[in-house]
Amino acid sequence: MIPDLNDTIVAVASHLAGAARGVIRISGPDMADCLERLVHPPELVRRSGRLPGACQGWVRVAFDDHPRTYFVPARILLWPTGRSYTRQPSAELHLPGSLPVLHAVLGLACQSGARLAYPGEFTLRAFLAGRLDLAQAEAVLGVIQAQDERQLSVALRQLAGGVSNSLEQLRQTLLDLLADVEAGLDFVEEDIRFITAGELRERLTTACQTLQKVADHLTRRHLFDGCYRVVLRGAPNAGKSSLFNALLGRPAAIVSEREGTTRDYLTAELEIGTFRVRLIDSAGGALPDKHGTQTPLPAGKLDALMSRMTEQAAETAHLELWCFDVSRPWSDETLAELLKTLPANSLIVWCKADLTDASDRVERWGGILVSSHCGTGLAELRQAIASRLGDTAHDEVMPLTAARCQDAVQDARSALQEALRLADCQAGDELVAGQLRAALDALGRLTGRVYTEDVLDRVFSRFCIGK
Amino acid sequence: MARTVYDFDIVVVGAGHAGTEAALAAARMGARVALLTTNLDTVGQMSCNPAIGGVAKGQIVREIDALGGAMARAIDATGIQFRMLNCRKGPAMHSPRAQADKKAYQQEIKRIIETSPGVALRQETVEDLLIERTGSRLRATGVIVRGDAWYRARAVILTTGTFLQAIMHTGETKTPGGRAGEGTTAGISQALARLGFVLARFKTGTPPRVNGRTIDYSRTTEQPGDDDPQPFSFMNDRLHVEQLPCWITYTNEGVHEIIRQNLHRAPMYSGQIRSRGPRYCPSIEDKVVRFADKTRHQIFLEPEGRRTAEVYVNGISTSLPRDVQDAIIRLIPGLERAQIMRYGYAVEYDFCPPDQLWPSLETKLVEGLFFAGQINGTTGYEEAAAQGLMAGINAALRLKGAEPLVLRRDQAYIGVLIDDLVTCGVDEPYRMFTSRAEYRLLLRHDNADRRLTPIGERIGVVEPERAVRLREKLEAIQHARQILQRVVYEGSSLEQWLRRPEIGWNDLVARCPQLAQFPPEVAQQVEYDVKYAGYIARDQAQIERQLRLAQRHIPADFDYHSLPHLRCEAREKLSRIRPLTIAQASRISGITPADIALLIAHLEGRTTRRHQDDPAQPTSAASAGGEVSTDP
Repeated sequence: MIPDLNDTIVAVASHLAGAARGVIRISGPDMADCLERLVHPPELVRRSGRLPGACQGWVRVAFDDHPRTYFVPARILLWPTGRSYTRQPSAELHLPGSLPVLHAVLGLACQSGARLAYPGEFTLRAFLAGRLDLAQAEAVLGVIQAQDERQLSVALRQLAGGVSNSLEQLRQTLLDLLADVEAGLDFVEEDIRFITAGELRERLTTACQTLQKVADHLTRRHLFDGCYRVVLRGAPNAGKSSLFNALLGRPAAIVSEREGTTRDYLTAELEIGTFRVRLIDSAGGALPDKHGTQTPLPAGKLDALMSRMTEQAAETAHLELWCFDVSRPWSDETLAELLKTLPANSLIVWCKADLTDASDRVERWGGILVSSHCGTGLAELRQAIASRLGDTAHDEVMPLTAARCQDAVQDARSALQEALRLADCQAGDELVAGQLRAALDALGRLTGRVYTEDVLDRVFSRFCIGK
Repeated sequence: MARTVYDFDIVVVGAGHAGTEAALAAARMGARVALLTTNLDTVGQMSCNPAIGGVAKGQIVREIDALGGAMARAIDATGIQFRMLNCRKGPAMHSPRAQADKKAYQQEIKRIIETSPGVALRQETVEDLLIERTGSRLRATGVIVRGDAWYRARAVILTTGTFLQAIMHTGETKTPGGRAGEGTTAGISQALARLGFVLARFKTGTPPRVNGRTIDYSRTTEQPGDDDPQPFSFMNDRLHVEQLPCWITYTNEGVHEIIRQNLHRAPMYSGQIRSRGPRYCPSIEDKVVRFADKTRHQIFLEPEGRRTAEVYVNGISTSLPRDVQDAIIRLIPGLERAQIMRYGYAVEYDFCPPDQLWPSLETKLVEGLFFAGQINGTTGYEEAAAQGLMAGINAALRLKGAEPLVLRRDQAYIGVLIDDLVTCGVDEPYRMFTSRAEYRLLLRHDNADRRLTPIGERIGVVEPERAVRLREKLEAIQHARQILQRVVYEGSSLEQWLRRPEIGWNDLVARCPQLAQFPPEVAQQVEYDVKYAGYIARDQAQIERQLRLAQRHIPADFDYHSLPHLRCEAREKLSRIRPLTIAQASRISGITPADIALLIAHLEGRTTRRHQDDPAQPTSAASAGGEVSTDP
């Protein structure tokens, strides 16, 4: 999809995490029409005539799962003519910096004639308007290009979680289906029944259901709320709960000598450096593999459940603190083996430093040595956590990326529903194919493009075609 | 010995489907054209199957006709069986196809050329190109033919088909030649390589032909033509021909077993042929190997003409040795006693990867040199003819100093064809499918005249009678449409009635007898216009978007190395293909929206002056610099 400069576009134009104000920017010929449906009272939009201006008003906010419309106070900056950053009618809405609110406003703007801006699109327009010189514009676009790919993959991983796979699978399914439909259209003289009307309906219905599942998942999953998730992991009795209490500065978790004292997980919020952190104390699970010194947990229903919850907590974690009881007699081979298997977003914490002198171990294997009991090493740990979170901060899913995912899935879903309707009333397979293509195009915005050759490849590899 | 020199405006090399349309189109536009062929008896020859049209191809024939081409008129005059394929699907899928009387078709094409005043048809063997070099610029100025004669011209169109360095294979036997019984051309290949063109090789194949007298038709299934055959040409209202049937039979496990036992003797499998062939035209050995679980493959027995008993065995294209072909034939129901008249063979030939062409089909390397047809890596008579037509038109426009005619993807299959070729290149012989067209609902066979004849009239490539005929049709369509909007029946206008799926034109006539005055082709257009309106409106928005991008031109000599932030892959592809518009650039595979944004930024940067300070800019919290980090 190539940016069309005549579209009216919308994007969040402020820092997202924990900012006091959030700014939404709109630019394009239909800015005023779009804005009239967002602000209250609508007259504000045209009040200043052709002159740029600013005023105080309200913005409508509606949430998917809520029947009521809320009005949020907003400062509205208007450039009704071409005398703006992009030299197009433009506006900015300065709102409270709440992510759900910004998200909802973006959604409403998209229903009111705007579309989500592609990465760098405002910059491109500003450049075309002569607001930036070429070097600036290029640098910005270059950075955005690199970020965009990472953003989308992160978004798919985090937002869709377990369903991002089914999204790719769904794309494959739809391509196969399209190939069958196209084959029936293009190769009418073959003695092959490519697809029957019944099959078509059945496969469309299944695809619709899958997409519905993805869509549900996307909306239910909460967006990044400015709070970073840090999960404590490690073998039972490694000292996670003690560390949890120590970091928190109060006894929130029950601590005992017995393995498996913590059965589900506890969470608490705290500030570490400049970051708001949700600390999660998971139930200890078996370490990634055979480490010799650890008795595996007895297999039971409760244990299975515990370890699944731990896995789920870890799946969305920004940082995993892997706790090891430094007083245990770890062998070098075991440790080498073990540390190799830790995920990339892990930080090694050697607990119970007060029980033994283990500075050589830290020197050799890295990580932070702490004693929850005496408080040694905690400051260092906090610093390390903050530094690691700083590194991952730009990987966080922005509402705009999330909205793009939802947008694409929504578009794909309506196309498939239309395809199903057309198939039901037997309107013609060429029309069904058109909708399938629209659905694939929409998914392609997330997972990659469709090429005609892709479809033809499928046809020729599966059917014996040609005279 | 004195050299003979002839002067023409345009020289067309090759008189197959591409060359003949090229010569005729240029002549219609007023150019003096020399059409050179190595053999005057093979003008417009159908080297392969005796049929014109089919799904997507039939639409192309109609488009060629809408621009005044000869193919549709020739098949209307010489067809022996006409069928409208895909009739049970929507109008966009309806596709005309006809069996041709091969010899009659060829003679009809030759007759059309002979009666065209602007074309000099001559038997000549072209051995080299005349090229003028000015600095680093190359310009085609004619050709040298065998016998020390020069044809000088301001544009040269090469339509050499499969004849460049051609080798035919039947089993272990290799024969130089581009078609059974004919030779090959080496001089042109060498000339092209010398000029710096990249050449590559493709393969294609053809089945054996048998004597129809020796076929037992009782063991096959008859496939008749349509009861009410539809003409290809918009200039013909009706067809008056007696139709002949085709026949269907099948291969069987016995046939497949013989093929499997002899695979080591098949050039495609022994390694004797390495070049790539079309996947949609697989040889029978390919079908048996790749789809081993299929117990039979369909075969069409297609008569080659009214005055010959020769029958084309469509479906068993092969390069297996003669004895194996004989054995196969004997096991096919109906062909047990059939005598092979010509054995099947595969042919390998040179082509020029078409990303070396501008969308006008002029080469990027040599000004005034155009390529059309199989030399561009395509397959099919219709695809070749379409390119010939466009090359002829563009060569003629070039002589007039006018802008080339580049049909858009939403205007014609011809536009899709050429855009695909020059933008994406080919990795197997290119054939048209309707699935290649994004705007399939618009590109129907029935409206090709409405889409293209006005364009043809503007550039002067269509005959006046055709333009008049279309104008009358358009007026009638408009008139009928007005009636539909005006006449109200039970509270709804007739147009609203027609939008309902269950209502057809005849239902309207029953309610409004006035409509009976309109001929079927007018009624059909009105009905499709109304019924497809919703879907077409959706396409239209997309088309307009593309159009805006197509209006952003890229200079042919744009230096992509001057864009430091462009990705290497994008730089390499854009430099090679040198797209002429942003729209074309965006269709190159692997080019991302961000690449395009950069490109737009640069192109605008060359023309737009910077406006640095604007007093009307109010202060804003999200300043320009903030966007790097916030607009993800």
